This record gives sequence, structure tokens and C-alpha cells, in this order.
Amino acid sequence: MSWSLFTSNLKLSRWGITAWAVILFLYGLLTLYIYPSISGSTSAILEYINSLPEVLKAAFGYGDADIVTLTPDIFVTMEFAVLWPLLIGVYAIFSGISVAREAERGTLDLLIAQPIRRYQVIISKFAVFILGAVVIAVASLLGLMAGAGLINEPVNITSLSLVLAEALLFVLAIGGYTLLLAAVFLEPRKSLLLAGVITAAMYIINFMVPILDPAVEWIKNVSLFNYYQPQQIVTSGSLDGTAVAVYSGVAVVSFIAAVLIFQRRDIS
Amino acid sequence: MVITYLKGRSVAVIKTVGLTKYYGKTRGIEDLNLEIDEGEIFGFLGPNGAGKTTTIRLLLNLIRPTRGSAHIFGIDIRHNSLEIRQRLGYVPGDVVLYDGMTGMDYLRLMGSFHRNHDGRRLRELQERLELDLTRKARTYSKGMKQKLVIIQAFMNDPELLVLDEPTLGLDPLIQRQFYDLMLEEKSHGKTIFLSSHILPEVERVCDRVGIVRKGHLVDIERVDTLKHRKVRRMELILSRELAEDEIKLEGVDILGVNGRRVELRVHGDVPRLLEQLCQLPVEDMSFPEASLEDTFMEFYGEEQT
Repeated sequence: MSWSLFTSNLKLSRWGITAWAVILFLYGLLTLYIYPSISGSTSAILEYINSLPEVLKAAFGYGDADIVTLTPDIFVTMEFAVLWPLLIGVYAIFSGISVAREAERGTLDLLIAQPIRRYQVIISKFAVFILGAVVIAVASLLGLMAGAGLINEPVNITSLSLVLAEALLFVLAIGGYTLLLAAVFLEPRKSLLLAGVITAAMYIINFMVPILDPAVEWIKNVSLFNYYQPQQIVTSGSLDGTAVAVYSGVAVVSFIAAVLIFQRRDIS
Repeated sequence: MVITYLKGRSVAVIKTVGLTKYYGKTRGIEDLNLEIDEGEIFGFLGPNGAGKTTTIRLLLNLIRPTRGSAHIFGIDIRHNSLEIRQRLGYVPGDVVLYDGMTGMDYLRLMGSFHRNHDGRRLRELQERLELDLTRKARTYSKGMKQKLVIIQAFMNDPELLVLDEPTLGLDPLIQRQFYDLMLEEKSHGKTIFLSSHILPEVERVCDRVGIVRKGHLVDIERVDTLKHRKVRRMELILSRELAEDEIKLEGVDILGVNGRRVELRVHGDVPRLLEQLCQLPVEDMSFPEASLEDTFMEFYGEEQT
């Protein structure tokens, strides 16, 4: 990695990352802050949620099993953790296409004409994206901790940290396949569109599963959303090994493929 | 037609053999054979779309050749491009900067990749080209952006400068400074590959020119030779009107007769022409210094330069 390129890219991205971090901090804080106002009617809410069709429960990330208690942790998974990968997925997709954006604008030309290896360019960019995603995840956790400090309820911060860690890996996987698309096409609009379509398709496949024919139920395995079960993490108190392996695998394989392709691409 | 120009020296700074690039079915450059010597300023001339920028992008390893080879400093561009780029300065034809960076941030970033980066040289160039480096790139005019990339290319003491239309957007005073800068670099033994379609610029600084047209190198000449081959225009004002067939002159083409005004293109022997002019009722004449442009236009026919 080129340290100077990394710091330059970080400097250029700092306001974007800061904005995401502040928004997610506030979102985390508010999620727990409003919990006491609904905790009095948890039975009614649970009854409503459990009565939802399976498709809608899956769409909202409420999982297969009925929810029996609405603790602050479960409430966070329903209101905050479910949306987190989708929100930060936007950040991941826009970060992932940055190489293609530079190629289209022309800034990549002069950069690659310098004595720097192409893989250093792509590693530096991806490193800034990872750091940004970590900063946003930490800000989110701080927001939840701040929210927990404002309410008089027990909140299991360790479990919520694990939820955010898995969500972070999920986002790295999204960033990875977006980077791969950007390296293949070097066209930001095409890469953005494809990454968006792939992500949306995986989301739709995931909540369509309950109404699919059992013969094609295997298709859920191609959706990254299928492996993301924040409520299970909270109830079990540990990360799901399959999810960690799938997200890490997608992120690493996509990243390596992106580097190899970018090494050979014409920058024209 | 493919012109081969190999001078037979052991190591040229730039040497291409059959260098060809196709973008799908679209031709970029074809069978380019070229040798550029150390310490020379080589002008690469051609109209838009002729293949100049494609050649530069091949030399910088931004794009891969369809076939053929290129060596810079004796190094194959595909095998150790990093070492080549360590010793090379590049000014792109279309300058795009990072909007959020100041000029100084940009130069520091670009300099950080070079082992020869020299802050003193940077400041010297900045003062010479009069550029405010504290401003963000988004506030720069086209000329200021051009100055920034010129500083970027020259500040690392490169052995070879690859310049793609480097004076676009520069005001005349800074253009002159830039020409002086190029000539200074040449006096220090540096080699310059200058892609341009500004003929007076090429005439002013280049030792040799290669003329590229429709993806093919059509000629390579020393600028001195080209100047001697130059076609000159002459305008005569006659004391009375003559029909075109009454004007019998050797070594000229009559471009037009408009009343007493006659416009000629001279490509023959000038003393002989002057003798013949004595036979005509010449009242006045203008015979401006030969322009490389007129000679150049011969290569292009009706194409625009």
C-alpha cells in the first residue's frame, strides 16, 4: 500500500465518512432513547410483528422464529441493525466505484503515470473504505452506548458489538464486489447500477424465500442477506461462523480478483 | 505507407518496433517504428485522432499494445514500467485534478512516489510559473491546472519528459517561459517527447519531428531540413492586371489572381524566381518567412492540423 496515497484518499473522503459517522451515531442513540416510550406496549408490538406474513417479517429482517420478548437489544436489532448494512451498503457501493470514477474523470491517468504499482492504488483506496466503514461502525456503537446511558434499562453492549461486527463484514463484502465490478468495467455508472441491482436482488431473494417452492429454496444461499441474522447474535451472544466465512470470503476473493483485473486493464 | 526510421544506435531513450494498438476494431496507432535519442526534443505532430495520445499512453503503460514492442531507457515498457516511470515526467493532454486538494497537496502526493523528488526545484518552478499552490484545485483556471502539471512533470529531475499538448491554456508569457524551460532541460541532456499540433511551438524547440496521420507515422525529419523544404507564399501587387496564363513562372503554383493581386506558392529556387519576376510589372511584393505550417499542410492535404 502507498501510505501517501492512503492519507490523500483519506483526506479527500474525511467529510463523507464524518457525515456517515455522525448520522449513524445519532441514529443509534435515538433508537435506544425511544425504547422506553414503546416498552410499555411491547406485547401489542410483538403480537403485531408475529402476526405479519413471513415475507414481510423476512423483508424487515425479523427472522423466522417468533419474537417472544422485546428487550432493548432485540429492539435495536429490529430498528437499527436490520437497516445498518443497507445504509452503509450505499457508502460501500459509492466507495467501491471510486476507481472507476477516477478513471472516467481522468485523475487516474496522471496517478498511474507515476512510479506507483497499480495494486498500490487499489489497495490504498480499499483501505480507506475499510477504515471509513470501521469508523462508522464504531460511531454507531458509541451512539448505542450513549443511548443506553440515557435509558434506565439493561443493554448488552457486547452482543450489539458483535451484531455491528457482522454487519461490518457484510458491508465489506458489498464493497468488495462493487470494487470488482468497478475494476472490470472502469465505468462508474455501469458499476454503480450493477452493484445496486445485485444488492437489491439479494435483498428481494431473501424475503421471497418463505413463498418460494421448496425445490428452489436453495437460491436463498446466494443472498448475502440470508446470512445476516442480528437477532440470533443477540440471543446466542456469538457470531455466526457461516456468516463470517461467507462475508469474509466474498470480500477477500472479490478484492483479489479486482486487483488482478485492474493490473491488466487499459486505462483509456 | 510505413516509414521505418532506425538509426542503429545501441540504446535509444525511446525505441518502438511495430508498435500497434487497436481498440476493438478501431485503430489507435499501427506499426510505429521510432527511435528517439538522448538529449533531443522530438516533436510528435498530427491532427486530432491521428494516434499521438495513444502512442503516449502506450509508452506510459496505461494501455497495452495489440502487438509490437516499446523500450524506454532500454527497458521493455511491459516488464519494468515502474523503473521507467521513476525516471520520467508526464504532462497529460487533458488535465484533471483532485478538486479537494490544494496545488501543494497534489504536488506533494505526486512527488512522494519519486526517489528524486526535490522540494527546492518545486519552489523554483512555482516561482517561475507564478502559481499559487495554496488554492484548492477546484478554483484553478485551465491555465493554472496546466502550470501545476508542468511543475509536477519537471520537479523530479526526470531524464525523459513526455508532454502531450503541454501549452494548451497557457498565456503567451508563460508559454515562452515554458519553452525556455524545455530548452534548459535539453541543455542538461534531458530528452523530451513533445506531442503537439502547434507548429510554431514545434519549430521553436524541436530538433526532429515525426508526423503521424491516420495512425501511421508518415515521415520523420530534422526541423532544419523541414525548414529548408518549406513551401513559402508570395504575394505580388502588379502595376496592371494580367491573366493567369500570362504569368509564367517556374517553381511556383499560382494560388489565385484577384485584379492586380497575385498569390503564389513558391517551392523552387528563389534567385531564379526573382530573375523571372523582373519580367513582370511588379509594383510591390510580400514574401514572409516560410511557415512550417504550409509545409506541414502538404502532408495532410485538406485535413485540419
